[in-house]
Amino acid sequence: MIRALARVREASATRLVLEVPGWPGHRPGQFAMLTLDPERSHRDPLLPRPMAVYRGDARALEFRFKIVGRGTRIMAALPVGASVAVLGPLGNGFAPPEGPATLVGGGSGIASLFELARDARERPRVLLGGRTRAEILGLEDFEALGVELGIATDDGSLGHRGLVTDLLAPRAGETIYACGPDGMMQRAHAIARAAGARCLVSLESNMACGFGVCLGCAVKTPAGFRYVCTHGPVFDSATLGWEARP
Amino acid sequence: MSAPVDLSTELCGVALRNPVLLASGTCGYGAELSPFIDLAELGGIVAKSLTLEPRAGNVQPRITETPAGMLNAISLENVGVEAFIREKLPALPAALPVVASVFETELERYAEVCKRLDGVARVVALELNASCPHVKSGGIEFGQDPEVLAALVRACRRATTRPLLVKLSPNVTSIAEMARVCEGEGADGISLINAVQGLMVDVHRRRTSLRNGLGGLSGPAILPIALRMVYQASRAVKIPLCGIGGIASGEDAVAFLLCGASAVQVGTLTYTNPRAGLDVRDGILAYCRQHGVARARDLVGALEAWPPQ
Repeated sequence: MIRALARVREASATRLVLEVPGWPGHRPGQFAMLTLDPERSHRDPLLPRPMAVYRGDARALEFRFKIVGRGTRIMAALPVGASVAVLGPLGNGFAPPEGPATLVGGGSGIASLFELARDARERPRVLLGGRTRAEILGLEDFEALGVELGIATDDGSLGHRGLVTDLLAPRAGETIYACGPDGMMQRAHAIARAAGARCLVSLESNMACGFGVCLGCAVKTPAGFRYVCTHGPVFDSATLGWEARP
Repeated sequence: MSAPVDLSTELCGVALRNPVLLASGTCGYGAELSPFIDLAELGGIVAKSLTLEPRAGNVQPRITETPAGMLNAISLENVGVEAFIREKLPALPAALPVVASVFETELERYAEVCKRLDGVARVVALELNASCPHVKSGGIEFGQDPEVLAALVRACRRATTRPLLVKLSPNVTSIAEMARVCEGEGADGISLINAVQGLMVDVHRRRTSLRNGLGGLSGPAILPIALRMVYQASRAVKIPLCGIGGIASGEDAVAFLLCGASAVQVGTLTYTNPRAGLDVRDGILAYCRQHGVARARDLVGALEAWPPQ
């Protein structure tokens, strides 16, 4: 783990590319905390933002997002060369699939899945969903991987009109990897359970620190509170007590 | 070549290599920061508040960002005093002064936690958290009523031989009165301030931003409130003060020293950067060099008066 002062190479409404000196590498599904005002000239917004690494190497990290609030609005407007403090890599990330796998991504949750899809030894099936075609982050990148791809949009502007989980049909012995809205992940969990497949989900949470001291990201499970930043963000969905929910 | 600066200081008889500690509830039990910093470079840490039994907190949302700050209602989740002694303390470097923070819902239980910590060699001092503003079970805060606060300090004073700091709530009419109560009951020092009670609303969902409703406001937004209270408390009591509230730089820390704090605690800023405490220490050093200050402790209470108008 490092904390480094990075430089913005590129920023737009959906993409941020940072040159991060000394980045030690990461596993698919790990994240970083981005401090947008590292010189503390304004101290506002105060808190860093947790962002899944979309892809990266020793020189640059790429993040994909949707503008949802103040932090992402500022991120999208960062000038080239601006400094951003990067703390990471954080969290457990995904264990790479050992057999057949289906990846299910919804909205900005897709960002956590790209490197998992790219690095899997056996080509996984990938299902991506969003409200519209424009919300399917990184579509061209997934297409270029040559994986079996299924798309669903709420408005039918691309692929199946409906939920991305409508496309999910787990095969025996398969592992499901899901990242997206809670409702989507809970449906993926239910479908996987019914098919006897294992389901790993990457949870998103509000957090102030990313390394286990603010405790803002606690998730209540049957075994007690778990922290998304240090115990996760990836959890076996069977440990989250989702069965108990209506 | 500039003259060497002596950053060492003392708080309630405890020698510190510099005046910067990390505040309770913002540095876990210390080891969480080990991947990022050498803990032994700090003046010390105040570990997360301990109760007799392990304690779980509130359901999310527990935190929300506010202008130049944040609001939290974690509700003092902790591993309990026994697990702290058995599992957390041994993981810390021997050279790091560790202050244990104590929190409970009843006087007798507060005293019992103090008693359990009394014989623990690694614990250099106790800090009573008398002020957590969002725990429903305690009703009003212990630190909001002078008589309740007096009874609390008295009970814990009897339960420990360790230096006893009381961390005051800012949610009071007269901080000077509360400081005098602590001094009168034998506290060795006062830490101030804890989080300021606050509320945020998500207007689009027509709900409070935190599930708990009320929360504790911290971060740079509360710095002027904290400075004011340290300033007032330093004029009310002779026991040493430890200043807390939104410290983000060496200059912020120096402001607390000038207002009469013997040491400071960096809190919420550690969330934004695990090195924040050491950056503040470096900033105090830079200030001392810039102003030709040989000993940082000479800054304590060294605020100068304006000439008469």
